Amino acid sequence: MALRVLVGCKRVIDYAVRIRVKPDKTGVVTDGIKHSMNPFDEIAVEEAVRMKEKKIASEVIAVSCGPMQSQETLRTALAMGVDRGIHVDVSGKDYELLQPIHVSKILAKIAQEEKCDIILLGKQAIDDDSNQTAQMTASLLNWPQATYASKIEKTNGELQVLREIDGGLETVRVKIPAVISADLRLNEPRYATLPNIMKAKKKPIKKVTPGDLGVETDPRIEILSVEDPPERQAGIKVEDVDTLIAKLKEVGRI
Amino acid sequence: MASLTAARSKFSVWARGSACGIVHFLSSRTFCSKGAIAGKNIEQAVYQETLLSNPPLLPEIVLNLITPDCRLWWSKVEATNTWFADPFWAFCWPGGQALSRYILDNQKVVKGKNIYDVGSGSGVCGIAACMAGAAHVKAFDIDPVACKIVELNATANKVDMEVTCQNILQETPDKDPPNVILLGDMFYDEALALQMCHWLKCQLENPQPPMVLIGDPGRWAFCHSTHPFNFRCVAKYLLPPTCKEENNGFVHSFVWEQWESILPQEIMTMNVEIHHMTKKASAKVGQCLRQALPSWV
Ligand SMILES: C[S@@+](CC[C@H](N)C(=O)[O-])C[C@H]1O[C@@H](n2cnc3c(N)ncnc32)[C@H](O)[C@@H]1O
Repeated sequence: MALRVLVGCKRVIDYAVRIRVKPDKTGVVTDGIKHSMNPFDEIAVEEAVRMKEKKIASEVIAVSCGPMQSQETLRTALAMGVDRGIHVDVSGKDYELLQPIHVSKILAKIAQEEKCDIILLGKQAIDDDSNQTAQMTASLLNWPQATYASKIEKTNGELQVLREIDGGLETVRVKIPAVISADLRLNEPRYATLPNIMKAKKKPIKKVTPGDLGVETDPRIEILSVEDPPERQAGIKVEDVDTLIAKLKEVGRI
Repeated sequence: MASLTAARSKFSVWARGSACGIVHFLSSRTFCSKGAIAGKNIEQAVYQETLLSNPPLLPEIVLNLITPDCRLWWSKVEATNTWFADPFWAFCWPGGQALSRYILDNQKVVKGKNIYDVGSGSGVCGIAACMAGAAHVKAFDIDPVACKIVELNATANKVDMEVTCQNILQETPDKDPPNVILLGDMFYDEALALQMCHWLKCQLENPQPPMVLIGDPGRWAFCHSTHPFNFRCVAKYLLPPTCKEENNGFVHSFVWEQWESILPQEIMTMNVEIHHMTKKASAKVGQCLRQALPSWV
């Protein structure tokens, strides 16, 4: 039986951009800054498309929660081979305070409505580094989860997932439906070329609000202050090993 | 014009191996990006930005296409040249390739008949029909650039066909309908698919309804449209690697025809995998396509 796969793709500040904190310390500067798809989500999208190409998946649906511009992120996913997109419109203050718990509820609801069998997400977003969405989504749905996947195989009715864990690699088997989160080594996402970008413009994107899905997005946290990490102090150069040892003793490191 | 095309034709035979150099050479020429959809300008632009090449499933057809050896293939941003904004005609879509392959291998489907190629793009399906001995082929595309390209591509393949920009989907059915309607990858857009199904329904209400042939790789809108009649799959082709790269997510392309039509007797294979669908294995499209697809795809 071919499966329906739901992938999440978050629009984040591009990984190559130097992040600047707003002078009033309420957040980081996002206006006029280059954004792109969260790299771990790109890996999840790539894996979902490969599942479709291997005929494991019959359809791949991408979801992005965020402002209007999230549709650009969805278009990238569509150009990579996703069949259709769902844009969950959250903007302004609501978006600034949108938390993994809200996104998990949204994803869980959509997965049920669209009768999805697999939810594939990035292990974390590179902007807030929360690493919670996959786990919470699995919990909300009461589905098994396999996080930090570096290899996914389908073995009759189940998924065998190789996970990257602290001590090395772990192999787990999960029943379908399941939630999987992608780690860095799962695959290398493809580059979207013109013919694919062109075709993606015509693929359907449905716009919904969290309210339409019956999900409350009331903030559960309050941002008190956002600050730059402390600047690294300049180091010193030493002449030889003896001076190095002496210096290290001086600062109490050895 | 004809000599230009002929020269290019020869050119591209040996150019394909080292096409990068050729493109570089071509792009050193200048061209004007504004002007009417006629005459030299567009030809020059096409000459500069595309390569006359064979669609992977169709070694007998040459088309002006944007290939991986062309600059635009790799460009992420919209082309600044207005002719190349959404150049649907610069790609041979998998639906059109499958349908054309099918026509070339099953010539009697079109031989001696009046053909409409609706949404002709590069004109590939119409060209295949001409080559297979159709009596008359009329290509329809609402994009005036595409219409011009169809002329160029027809000449490159030494076939004659009529081309028109009129939006046939908005017209009342012809008093003199075609015998066969070819739809190469026309279900890429939800709204258009809806319009298309409505139009097909009108066509089929004609006392002498045309035969409809559809090429489609399994696009969402095709699988989810409510079609006015049942189709059966008559051919399934494995997409060659370059075609797959152009169509992320798809691996095969299918040809569908009306349920009542006669099954082709012989299907030739040329580097492609063709599954001749038996009545048992063929899938009914319409509301039940989604369930039916996985059983044989
Ligand atoms: C996906 S391309 C297919 C081209 C070609 N049949 C092939 O398979 O390569 C669709 C083409 O249909 C054209 N088109 C869109 N709407 C149309 C309409 N209402 N009537 C005729 N052509 C239309 C577009 O301009 C485009 O060139």
